[in-house]
Amino acid sequence: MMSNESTYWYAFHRVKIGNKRKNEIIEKMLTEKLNVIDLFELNRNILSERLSLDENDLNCLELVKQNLSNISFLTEDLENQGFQIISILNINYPEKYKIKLKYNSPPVLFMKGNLELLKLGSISIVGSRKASSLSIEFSQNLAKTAAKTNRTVVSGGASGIDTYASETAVLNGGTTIIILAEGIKKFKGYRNYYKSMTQGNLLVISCFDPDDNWHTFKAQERNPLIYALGDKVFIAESGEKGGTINGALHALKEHWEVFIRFPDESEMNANSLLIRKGCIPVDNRGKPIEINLPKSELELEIEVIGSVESLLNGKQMSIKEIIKALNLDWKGTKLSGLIKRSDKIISIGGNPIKYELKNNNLINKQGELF
Amino acid sequence: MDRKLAEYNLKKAFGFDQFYDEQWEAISRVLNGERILMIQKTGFGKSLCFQFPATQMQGLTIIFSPLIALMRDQVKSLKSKGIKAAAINSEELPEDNYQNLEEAVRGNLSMLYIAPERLGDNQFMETIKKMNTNVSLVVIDEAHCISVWGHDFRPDYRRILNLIKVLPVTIPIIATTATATKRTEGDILKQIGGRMTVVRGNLLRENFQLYVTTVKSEDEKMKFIAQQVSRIDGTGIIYTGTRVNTEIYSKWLNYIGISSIGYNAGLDTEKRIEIEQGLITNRWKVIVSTNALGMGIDKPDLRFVIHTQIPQSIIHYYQEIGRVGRDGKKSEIILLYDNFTDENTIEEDLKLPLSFIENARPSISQYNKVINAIKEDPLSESEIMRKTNLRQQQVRVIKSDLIDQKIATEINDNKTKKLEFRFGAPDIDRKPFDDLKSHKKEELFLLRDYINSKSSRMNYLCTYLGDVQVENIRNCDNTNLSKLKYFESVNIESQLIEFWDNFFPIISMAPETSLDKGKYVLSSPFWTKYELKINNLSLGKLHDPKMFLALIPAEDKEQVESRLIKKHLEKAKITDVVATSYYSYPKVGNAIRKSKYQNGGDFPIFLVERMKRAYCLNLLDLKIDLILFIPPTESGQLVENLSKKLGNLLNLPVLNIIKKAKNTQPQKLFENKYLKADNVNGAFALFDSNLIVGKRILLIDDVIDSGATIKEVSKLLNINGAELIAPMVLAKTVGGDQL
Repeated sequence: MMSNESTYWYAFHRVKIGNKRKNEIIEKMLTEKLNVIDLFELNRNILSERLSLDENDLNCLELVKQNLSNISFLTEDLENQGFQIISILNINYPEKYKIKLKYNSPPVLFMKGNLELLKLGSISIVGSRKASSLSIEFSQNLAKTAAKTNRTVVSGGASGIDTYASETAVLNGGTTIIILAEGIKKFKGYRNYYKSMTQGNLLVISCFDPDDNWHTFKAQERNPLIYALGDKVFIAESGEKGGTINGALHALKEHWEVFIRFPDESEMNANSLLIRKGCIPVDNRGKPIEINLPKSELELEIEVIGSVESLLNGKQMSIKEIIKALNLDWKGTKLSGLIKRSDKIISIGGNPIKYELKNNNLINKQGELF
Repeated sequence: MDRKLAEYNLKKAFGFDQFYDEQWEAISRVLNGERILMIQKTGFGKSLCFQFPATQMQGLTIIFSPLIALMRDQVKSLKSKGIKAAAINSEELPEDNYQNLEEAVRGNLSMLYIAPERLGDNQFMETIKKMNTNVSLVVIDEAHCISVWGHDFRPDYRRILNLIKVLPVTIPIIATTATATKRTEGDILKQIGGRMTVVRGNLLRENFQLYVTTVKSEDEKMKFIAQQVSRIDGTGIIYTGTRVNTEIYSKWLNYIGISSIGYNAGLDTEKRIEIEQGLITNRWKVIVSTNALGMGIDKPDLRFVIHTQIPQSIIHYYQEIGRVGRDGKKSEIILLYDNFTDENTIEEDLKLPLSFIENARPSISQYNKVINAIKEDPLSESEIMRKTNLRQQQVRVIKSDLIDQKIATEINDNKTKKLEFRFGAPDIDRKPFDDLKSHKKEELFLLRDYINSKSSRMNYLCTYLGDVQVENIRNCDNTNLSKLKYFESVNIESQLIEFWDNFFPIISMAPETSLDKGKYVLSSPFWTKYELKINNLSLGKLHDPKMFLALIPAEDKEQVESRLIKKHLEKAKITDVVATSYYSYPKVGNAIRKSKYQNGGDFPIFLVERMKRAYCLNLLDLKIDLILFIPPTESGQLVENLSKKLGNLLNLPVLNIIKKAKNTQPQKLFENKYLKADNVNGAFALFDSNLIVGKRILLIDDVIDSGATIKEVSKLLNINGAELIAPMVLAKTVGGDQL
């Protein structure tokens, strides 16, 4: 739906402040019952008072505001070509981002295609541009299964694994969501996927300026968007350097579950390495394989934090009590460090300090985005 | 800004002392950031209401206008006052458009006039992206084009509406129009939405003398006009219903010694500009035009306007007559109406507008043909025509409706505009078409009521247009003036017969090329003669364009332009086609039909004689060597016999050397020029090509439609060494894509 908010959201997208800060501002807007139009049309004093904007925020807004009506020309052109501007407050904005990326969610997305695909179950398939035939077969197997089970395939729209995954999905009657590392207008694949688009089997998403060209750092920046949109994430093949491995390591750091194709002994790639770092090995149909690798530090951490979370359900405990209850061979400082990184557990003070699960009632309270 | 200060600034910037009260009301509201729809009659001074605020505001004012001539005039006049204004449109040189856009990027412009179709144009969007100044005011000229209920809905205006929907809420807008009924006004407000309010003035024109004259035939109109135009002092416009009639009427007037020229949207830009300028300087007494001429023509002293065919509605009519008498002096407005009624009891002159209304929309199955085609691939206009065998005009209507109903979007694919199916689009909805059709019929019959009206004509018009106060105006043939009639004249009668016997349509075969833009301009303003201009200086008019090559300076020979010219000249070895008549002229059309389709034997001898006359009048100095004819698809020996008889009369040899190289379908099965060209592509061959090398050839066919066959054969003759090809036919059909 086109409304005059789209110009303002597009403008907000162009404001040169980070996503985290932008999301804070949006959250504040909600509590203050203001909308994005107010953000550009109200005067500085009111904005700084009601939204706690600082000098830098205001200056960055001001800069974009100077070209606001010009941006409406660009907005009209986008809409005319079938592109949509979807803000984080839009009903079509992917819930999964809000849940998984939280304040790092892109406040504005550009989309073209069937938005209903966002409501389907999904798997993300990633992998390097230069992929072996085993990896290609793997991604095709997964995409075929996804197509048959009415799950959509999320990929990055690059050559190699990305393309095999998406194409196989639509060729087998399935659907795909392509998340670009370039502006929404710059995607080269529209021609190729034309029929998928007209039949509603495709959605293209970009978090960049519509005219931006592809760039490596953009690919890095959008990788979390691919991971976060899949109910499950599969890596077909990763090099020792480059986008795939960086994306995977980032995902592991965030404690997301990542599946990876278990490689043959002869393969020269980083799949084994990633398995040691905590990715879950799967066979060429995507089924997890039991293998006897010593658990990685990361895996241990994930396991421990999981146990702590279930332990704390309805309880308040100190570090010492937790170590005892779980029979852990850990030092207290190590555990408290880990607990601090969890976003589900909070400290409630006391001596010794006690911890409990974050109150779920806080989430989705009015004025909160996430 | 108060009025005193504003008028002080007005004097400085524009040299005027003061605003009219109604102007100031509009201007002060715009300066306050309001959005207004201004309905004021032609000549009120609407443009000052946006031009003045534009000069007083920071940033750029964008003026959407569909009228290139108007843009040109206004920019010229603003520049002469030292105000920084520019226009970009399809008729400027690309480098000038580029230059103007660069000025906009640098923030050096205060006003930029653009055609609505520029929205989405790559170059324009780049400018908007790079611009550091903000757009501060948006002007929508001829705002009635927004409304499908208005008289001149333009699909490109839809994008202006889309723009307004996303325009920052604080930006002021002025929409202006000289003609909007209450219904159109309501529709414009509804579509633009938001906080727009109306400023409406009275549309009454007291200086108009309104006449309606009923006749019983087209010939009677021609004779009536001959008498009236000689009677009225000053220059004026004659509006016809079709392009063909612009040619017929202007040639008729010239024939009886009244200088006139035909104007329609089919002419090339250069020619149109020439005529528009000639209109201003009274170069001709009469411009005969379709409704393509006039909106935005700024000439105060046009003294008369005559309609040979009723427009589709009162609003169309009022818009067209509004172009005369802007100086407030007496002007004569004459509407001709042929009320001859045949067995169908439909009055003759209702037929054309009714058929426009009836056929405005293609059938639903034709819409679905296009929808199904674009579900497979994104397609350009010509690709759609090839895939669907629909006419260009039909495809354009369908395209516009599909975009309107959100079934398709138009995208830029490598500079080609392509139609793309929208996922999840609804089925085509017939209802708005039917509603519009019955609305248009109502409007047409209201105009017929005007014709039959017995009371003050201006009162009738003003009431219809929604003037608040309608006084009792006496200035028409129903009140104080006497009716105008044709007075029998033997002289005019015989002149008209002579005219018809010598009227031969000329059909252009070598359309202007991209050469129109740049240092060298080659055109064929008079058929068979070519004119070359270098930097706007004419080098004269020649029959043989090859001679121009000698005139191009040596250092330019290598240049792209000269290469292009050479290419054009090679093409130009084909002269324009001479037809002995339009197919619709009954005397000729019926005779052809009888021979071709009703086993009537050879074409009658009067047609051969007509051809001879056309030849002697138009082609004699081409020094033709021999006659060739196009082999038939279905009409047997007719064209061969015609050519032989003509050869006898002209004392020229006739050679039967063109043969069919493959079977073709009758051209009439194909609805558009692309498929017609495909059908005959490679369809012909020569028995013996030696016979035509270096020869000047008269090429004969019976009927010409798209011209694809003649082009194809001429190309073949050209390749095989013919020196010159002059095609001649019995008749030219009118219809299809060329109406």
